[in-house]
Amino acid sequence: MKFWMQRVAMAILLLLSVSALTFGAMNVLGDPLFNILGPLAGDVNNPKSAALIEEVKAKYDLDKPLPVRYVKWLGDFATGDMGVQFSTDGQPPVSGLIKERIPRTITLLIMAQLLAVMISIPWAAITAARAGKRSDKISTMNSFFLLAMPNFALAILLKYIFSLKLGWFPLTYKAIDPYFERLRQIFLAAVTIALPAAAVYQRLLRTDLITTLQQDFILMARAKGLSRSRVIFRHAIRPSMFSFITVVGLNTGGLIGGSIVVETVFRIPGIGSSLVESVLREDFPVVLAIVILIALAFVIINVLVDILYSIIDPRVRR
Amino acid sequence: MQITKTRRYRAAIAVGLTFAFLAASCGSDSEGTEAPTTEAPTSEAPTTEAPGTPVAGGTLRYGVEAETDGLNPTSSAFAVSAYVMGNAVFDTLTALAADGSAVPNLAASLTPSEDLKDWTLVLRPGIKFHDGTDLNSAAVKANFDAAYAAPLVGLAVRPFYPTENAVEIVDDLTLIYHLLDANLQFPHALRSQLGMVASPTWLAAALEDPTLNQAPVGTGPFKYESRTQDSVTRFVRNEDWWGGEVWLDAIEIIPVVDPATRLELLQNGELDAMHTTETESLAALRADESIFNIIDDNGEESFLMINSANAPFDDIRVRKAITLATPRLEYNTLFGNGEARLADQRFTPESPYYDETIKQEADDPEAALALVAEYCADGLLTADGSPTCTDGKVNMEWQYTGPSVVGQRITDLFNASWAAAGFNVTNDELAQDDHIQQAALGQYNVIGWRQFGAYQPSNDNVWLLCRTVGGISLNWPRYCDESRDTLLLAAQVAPTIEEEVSIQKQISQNLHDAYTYIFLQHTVWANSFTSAVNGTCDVKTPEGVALACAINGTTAFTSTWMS
Amino acid sequence: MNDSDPRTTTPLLEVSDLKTYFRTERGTVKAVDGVSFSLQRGQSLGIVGESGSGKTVLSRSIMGLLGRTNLIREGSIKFNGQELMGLSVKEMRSIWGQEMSMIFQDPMTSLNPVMKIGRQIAEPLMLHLGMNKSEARLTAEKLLTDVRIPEPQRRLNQYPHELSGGMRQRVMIAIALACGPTLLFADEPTTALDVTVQAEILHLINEQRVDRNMSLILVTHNIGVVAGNTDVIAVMYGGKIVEKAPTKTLFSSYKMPYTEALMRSIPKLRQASHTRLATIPGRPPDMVNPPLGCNFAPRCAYARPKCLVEEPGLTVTENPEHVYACFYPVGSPEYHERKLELSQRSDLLSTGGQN
Repeated sequence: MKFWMQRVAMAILLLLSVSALTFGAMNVLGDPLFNILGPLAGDVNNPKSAALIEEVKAKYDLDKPLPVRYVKWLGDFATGDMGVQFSTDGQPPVSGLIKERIPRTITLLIMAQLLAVMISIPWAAITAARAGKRSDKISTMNSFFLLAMPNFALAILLKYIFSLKLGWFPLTYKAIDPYFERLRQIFLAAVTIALPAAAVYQRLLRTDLITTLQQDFILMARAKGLSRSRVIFRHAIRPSMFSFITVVGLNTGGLIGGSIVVETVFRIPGIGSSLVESVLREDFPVVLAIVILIALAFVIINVLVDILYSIIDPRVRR
Repeated sequence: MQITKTRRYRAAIAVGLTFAFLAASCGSDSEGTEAPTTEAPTSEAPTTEAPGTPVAGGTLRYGVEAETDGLNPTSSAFAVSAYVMGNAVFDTLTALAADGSAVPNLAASLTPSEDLKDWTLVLRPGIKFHDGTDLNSAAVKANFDAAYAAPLVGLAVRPFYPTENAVEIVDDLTLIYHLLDANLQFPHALRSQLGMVASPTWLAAALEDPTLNQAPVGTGPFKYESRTQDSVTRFVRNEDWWGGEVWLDAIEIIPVVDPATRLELLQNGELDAMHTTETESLAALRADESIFNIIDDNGEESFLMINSANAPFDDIRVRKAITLATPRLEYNTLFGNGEARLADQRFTPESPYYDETIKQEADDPEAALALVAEYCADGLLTADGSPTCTDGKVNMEWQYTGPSVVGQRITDLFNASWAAAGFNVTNDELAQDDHIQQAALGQYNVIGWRQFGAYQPSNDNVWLLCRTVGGISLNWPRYCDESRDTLLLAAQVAPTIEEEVSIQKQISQNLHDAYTYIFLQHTVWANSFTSAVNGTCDVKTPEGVALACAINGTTAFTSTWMS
Repeated sequence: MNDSDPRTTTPLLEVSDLKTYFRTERGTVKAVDGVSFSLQRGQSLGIVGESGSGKTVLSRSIMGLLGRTNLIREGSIKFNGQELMGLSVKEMRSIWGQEMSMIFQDPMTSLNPVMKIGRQIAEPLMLHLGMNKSEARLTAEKLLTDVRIPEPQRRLNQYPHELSGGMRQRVMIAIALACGPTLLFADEPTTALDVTVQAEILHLINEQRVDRNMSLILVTHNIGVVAGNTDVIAVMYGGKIVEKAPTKTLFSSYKMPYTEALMRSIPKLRQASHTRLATIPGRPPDMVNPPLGCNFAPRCAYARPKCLVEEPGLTVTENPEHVYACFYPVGSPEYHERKLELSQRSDLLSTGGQN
């Protein structure tokens, strides 16, 4: 119980410092007034603009000191009010944007993570069973290739081969298409995120599997007459999953990072591409909201990893 | 450097581009002395498309160069992408005919008073907005008032109308526009953003709930269905469109920022239509026989712009020196890809307003050096007290948009030439919105720009008149010349084309002599369609007047059908 | 043992000249170097030797459980008349668990730590006997009862770490017995266990062997373990069988000086279970470059020059079941001569200190 309390306290502290840093940086480095008003913000000599500037300053508390604004923003955020988008016409609420976009990113990440896991486990199993043989060496080269290849390059390559040349997947994401059609549209993007991740997972799981395969209980399982695949999948995989699960969990954060590039390349209007755009437009409320959400996702994932541990290995249960 | 290259959905950018369209965008030649409007010399003939009778059905997917912030014509910044979407959902009060004149569209008629200052507009009866609201004079006034009051959009409206009662309602279908200046070309002002009429019910609701700005309600041939920013905006056929039958089931507007990708999508069949200004894409589009192109460079020009309000460029010698120092030919070789033509003035040689005697000066570094030496000998100081010259070279700042590879290459080219001609150049790479802000507030020396897209040149007056110099100037160079104002106002009341041409030539000469713009290239717009798309250029008014089918990268969709 | 017994005519297992070599960077390790023996149905064989003598490799080689890379395996293994040598892994799998099974040394590491006991027992039942889940579960419960595990039903849902070492070894036995094999290998089944538990486990294995009419190959370094539990004992040294005899015969009249050394090193009950053959001086031979003559000669107090250059073959004693490989076996004149010398020398050594 104390353990969980500590976790929660740490999480809150983390979120507070991330938000304070981001809030401070965005406000110090940029000019929120300009982001709301555009060039009118600099037109102080014109009484009409000046009045507008005062009005905006009052409305968004821009005349108050930074800590006061931070506390107010924090209070609003905690109650679900993420403020308004500065850069979009009419300044609609940020929460609307997030609500619209987050399901796409989550779908993309889940699909990518599932693909990565689904690819990496059999891949690791095959290579571990053939450790040191030629097929294993070729696979090692492949995985280093995938790891070394930048996300955007892989994205373009996949797009070129599977969309342009083969025409298996559509090139565009269209938010109005039916759900399953959209799943098909984000598939290549998910693969782009999944492949390098799968390579990492495979390297790791392969090493652990090789260790596990030397264990006595594997010999025991073989002596029962079980087939090789059954020995690997039923007996060897699960005890080899610890570092795998940790890395899969922690890497979800990395995938969020990857999704920023990939969403932009595949033009999927999700959280990642939103972050890029809002940074370029200096749309502080959007950037802040997304950064906090990503931090929150990290925290939640870490807790989930802890819980998963105890499910996988009965020995860590208390 | 140019606004051309980058995405344009910042509100700030809109200041530039909105008004390019708001105040402008008309036929290249008001009397239609030559070829049809859309048929630029560099274009394929737009009149012959696939033969056949139109059939209903199909969804047209159109790739635009950027997403737009909002679709409210009274408050949102309308750049080209917003126009493409706006053309589907809104109708304009007037429209550009194929012969270059402005003809009534939603309006039944538009009649000037004797002094050309008051224009009486009569609406067609019985038209309803998509939400069922009636189109009447109150609705049109509500639109005008909203635009006039809007902080940004109003910047281009307010200089031309009185503060009170600019629009007066006569009866349910009749209203009068009161102008500050006599203007024979006023009908052209009502064919762009200012002439788009939105449902007043929706305008009022959008004031309460700004998210409605993304869900426009007009009278147009298509109704708004759904919109996901940065993905797809979908419009479906308005079965009750007042203008007649609409063929397409739906239009989907898809922003694809990267021009190469957009081209790829079109060639791949994922898009049915697109527009572009990228010269590399243009070559590929021309080479592809399965694609129908409307290519046109009559619209905007790209140029360098000089701020005449501050030292050292308040001195015409320095403006002339930088002009002469600019490597215009090399620029066009490097960045035109053989597609864009050098510009000498606001008009292409095919335009009736073109003055063949006016040539853009440039590429003369020796003459520039002499002018610099002369200026620096005066030992003048800038406003903040620093010297204008150091070691006999003029200190200046070059602002460009970055980070961008093209921007950097252009900067390198200009830097080298200017430095050789006696300038100490400081480079200032700015994010695009800052760039525009600096321009609007006059905090720059020399800057790259794209503008002057009006087919009817008087619609570009907003950039040139003294009255748009101010805290925020739409007259970006902040160059005020009363005699030029006289010419500009005279041009818009010229009773004959001959007289108008003569005045426009004087204006062009004035622009040349002031050395505030260094014209580089005519921007080339391509509207491209796959072979399945037909009838784009068959667009007509209900009276059967043929309309222009492509203006500055936008097209109408009323006559388009898919086979 | 009884020639009139029809069973003796067709042995369950017949191993002839089995060689098992491993290719390593140092050279070829001759872990098993020409071993022959046969085993009748129901009979039990103890294989005894120091660690490194090749006894574990021998049992795994017979069963075919060794990895195939860098392995050289020659000779013949006939099981129920069927030649196992040359069978693919796939073909072997139908034998493993069903016809032959094995109890491993360390119950701590030989059970899957993340799989419930019940499933681990049920696995071979479902695989080989085609039982469904509930049948397999019932059978597993019965098996646990057979190996005298209290509260079998509850144990089925437990994980290995919840059981004591002895319990786990019983679970291993239950798994090995599950499909009713005809040949059971037990590789040091008690080494990892407390001394008090050892006897119980050995008793259990033997009892089950008798009940099920299985053959047993019991591999151990402790000749004391096999004493009461096997019919025949084979002593291994340097990858070869150096002496083989019915248990009683071996204990009463062993011939090899090595066997003698093993006998002396039987751990006393009080000693730690892992005490190795500390009393035999020297180390087991290098299996890559074995000695030219008798493998044991370098360590043998009774060795003579002939032992160092010539390898002794298996000599049959008056009892045809009793063979040994030694030129100067226990009881021979040379043996006695040397023994006398040794006792004198040790006298000298013990008195020499006073000189």
